[in-house]
Amino acid sequence: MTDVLHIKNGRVFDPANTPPEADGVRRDVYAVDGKIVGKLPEGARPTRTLDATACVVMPGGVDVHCHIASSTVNRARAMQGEEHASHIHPRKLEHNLRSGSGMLTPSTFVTGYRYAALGYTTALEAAVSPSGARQTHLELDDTPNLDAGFLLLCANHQHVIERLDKGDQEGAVAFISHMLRKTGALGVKVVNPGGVASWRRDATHHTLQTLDDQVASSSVTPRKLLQLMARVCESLNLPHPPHVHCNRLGLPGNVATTLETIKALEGRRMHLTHIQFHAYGQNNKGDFTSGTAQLCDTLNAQHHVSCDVGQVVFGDAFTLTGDTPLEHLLWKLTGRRYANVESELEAGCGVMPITYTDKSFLHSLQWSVGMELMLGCHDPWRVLLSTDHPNGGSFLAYPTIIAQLMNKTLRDEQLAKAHTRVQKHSALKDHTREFTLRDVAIVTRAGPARVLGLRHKGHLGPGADADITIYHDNPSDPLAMFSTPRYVIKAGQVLVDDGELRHAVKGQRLAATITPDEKGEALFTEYFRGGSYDVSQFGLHEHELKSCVSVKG
Amino acid sequence: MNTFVNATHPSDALMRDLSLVGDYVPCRATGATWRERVSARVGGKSVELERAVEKLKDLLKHSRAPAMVGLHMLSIEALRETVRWAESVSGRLQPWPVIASPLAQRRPVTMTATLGEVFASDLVIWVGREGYEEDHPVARAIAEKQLLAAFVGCDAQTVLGCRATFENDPTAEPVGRHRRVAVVLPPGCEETVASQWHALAARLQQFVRVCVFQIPGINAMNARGVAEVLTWQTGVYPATGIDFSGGAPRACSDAQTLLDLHAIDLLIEVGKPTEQGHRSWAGPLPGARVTIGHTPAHDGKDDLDAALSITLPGLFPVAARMMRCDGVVLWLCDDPATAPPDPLAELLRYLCDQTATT
Ligand SMILES: [Zn+2]
Repeated sequence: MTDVLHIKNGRVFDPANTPPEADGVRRDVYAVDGKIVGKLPEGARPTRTLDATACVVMPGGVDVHCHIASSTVNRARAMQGEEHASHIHPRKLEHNLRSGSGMLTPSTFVTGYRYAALGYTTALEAAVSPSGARQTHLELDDTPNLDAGFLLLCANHQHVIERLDKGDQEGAVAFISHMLRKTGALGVKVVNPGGVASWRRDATHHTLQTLDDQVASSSVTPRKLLQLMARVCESLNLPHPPHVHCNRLGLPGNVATTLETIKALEGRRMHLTHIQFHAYGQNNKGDFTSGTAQLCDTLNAQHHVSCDVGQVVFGDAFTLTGDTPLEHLLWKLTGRRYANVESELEAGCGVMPITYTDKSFLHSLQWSVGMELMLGCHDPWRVLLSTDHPNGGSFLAYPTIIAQLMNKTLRDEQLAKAHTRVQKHSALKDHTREFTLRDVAIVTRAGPARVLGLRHKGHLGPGADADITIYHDNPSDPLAMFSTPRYVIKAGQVLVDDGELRHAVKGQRLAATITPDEKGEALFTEYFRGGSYDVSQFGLHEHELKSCVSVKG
Repeated sequence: MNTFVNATHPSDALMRDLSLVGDYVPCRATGATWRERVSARVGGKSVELERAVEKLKDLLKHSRAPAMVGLHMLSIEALRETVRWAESVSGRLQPWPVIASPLAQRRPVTMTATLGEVFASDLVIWVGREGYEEDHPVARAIAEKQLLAAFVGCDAQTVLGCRATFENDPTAEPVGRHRRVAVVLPPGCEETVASQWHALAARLQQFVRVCVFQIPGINAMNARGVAEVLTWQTGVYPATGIDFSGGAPRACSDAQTLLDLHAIDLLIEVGKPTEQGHRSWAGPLPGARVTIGHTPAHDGKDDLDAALSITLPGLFPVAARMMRCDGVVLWLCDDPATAPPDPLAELLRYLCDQTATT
């Protein structure tokens, strides 16, 4: 039976397909069997009609960078006993919804439900080790309502470094190509390039200072690793460019490293993630300052660079990262509960809870820096919303952040509570820009979909996946508007109905289309002879790969 | 619809990898569906499955606090069905043996690694190696790859002594000279000792790469799999148990404690323990006992005593997964595209669908 959905008379925001002057024009949207169609096919009758007269219609939200499904996330869940005990989600028998727990690191079912309840229908898990890919697929299978892909941690893999050290770029590309294909990854994640590998080999190396420092006394440098990853993405024609977590996260003066990283790729495409954590200047006393002025200028000029902000939200958060030396440093500074796991010489992860407070100068500065970046960069298509969930805060804080971006009064109220030094010096006071609904639609759906290369997501043109969010048309109260969508539709199915989650559907796995590479497979098999399990147990089997949605570059 | 295809002979590589996950009952697939293979007993007497399901419904209907215990011998696929079932009857999930002491859950620092990292260490420090079997498969795998080994006792004094030494001089023996060191803890290592090794590893990290690796108990080789699946599905780490009685998952005490408190009136053993892991409950059971799982490797007498038992001959290879103690997910077959699905997962799905309270 053909399933026809008719969304009637809503104010539509579809920035991927329409110019600003067409924003909010009332029209009808149709979906047939889970896909958007331009007009109702002849003779077809809507199976369901949703009246959107008092509503705004946008594509479903796309989270460009979050941590929701991996052994690392699961370790965080396990460590968050108290938090999970105080956030329980009973099952809803009447809607066939499962139970679960947690807010910062919710269980898988709850993750899918809460994202959908906010109007998000696609997400990118941002850090998975090659040997951990199977667990990520298992967890994503248990995460409803989200189409999701993941990024593979590649840049500190022992064998990649060794191959690069020997000058075998081609071999390294082939090797990574095989890992990406075999694990069903959507893209390449670069975390503290070379810095993690240095620390894994020689614990005295907490961080590399420049892009030309040697990685563990090899000829490899962060610059060479960045260039290699760009080459991987280009030669495999991946949908998404290298997704880079720069060196020296969280250190004063690190904006210089971030600017160097942009230069290092010499005009090639790249995505800088949680850029807020990499945007600090340093005064002559060595203290943190905001480095956003320089960074915004560069981002405004360099059209090949996109980023997500990694906004900090005041309250409890949970740091989990492939930047293991950084996490160790954080542990030494805070002494909070901490775990570090090293995985098969491929990658590692560190986890630790954190609390951002407006009493802290640094945390206040971080909040301000994130806002300054979102407001100071002119092109919303390249500066996307994220909290690096749960590192800067939960994805549940997105409506709060959107509200502060849309409303200067709300922003000023928050600034007034911040640390006095930040109140005094923050450039935020001078930003009069207020996000429009178009801006919001770009930074939360159209932009992430474009940056990730997901052609069927983030827009409402014919052929797009019928992932649609319908909000009450109430931009004067953006917090209320974006906290509780009226309807959320996933692949044509109504999940949130009249403000309540009443249905869940299985999400799809999004994997990059990669042609098998015989050389890469041979190199990988040879390397894996020394592994702790047989190469046949690595990654996905062919029939599993076939069940993923293949995303072309 | 689950017609089993003829399984091929499992490869040596598969058997080698799976030896680190535990022993199931290797039984080659035949051309029968799980329904044709299942056997059921009520009060020790063979009955049709439908009759057994009626009995199970009746027991569940009259139970205020059903507990699904055991769980270690379940694949990830079967564990998913068990969580769904426990949730649907507002019961408990109680791994037995327990996964971790409540103390371990509060450990301030954990510095661990996968087996591949342990293999790559230039020194392995064995803690309390004399305390467990020589042929423990995980310990044997590490020993086969180790370059250099040191042996120390499994007591707080030893680890505190090491800590004092290294705090004075991080380059002291036996760690300081090396670049990568793995500390291997024995099964059931006391948490007071384990947590000190982890803390020491974290402190030494500035000078030497150190990880701490816990050898799993021989009866709990898939404990990691149980813990991971239950944690991601419920958000609750099942150190001793998870209780769904309030409609949502909450941590609860272990099965034996709750039996002693008469807080379990229906004990459903899911995933029969292996012969080694088989364990009678201390004291008389306050309510009925049900067993669901593979036909046990032992004489099966245990099933005769149960109010109800529903069992399947073990099947291997199957298109299902388990987890090695370091979190590596392993298929229980060479080719999941052609291997039959895990019949126990299918049985559990059926039982859940049949008995779910609506
Ligand atoms: Zn991240």
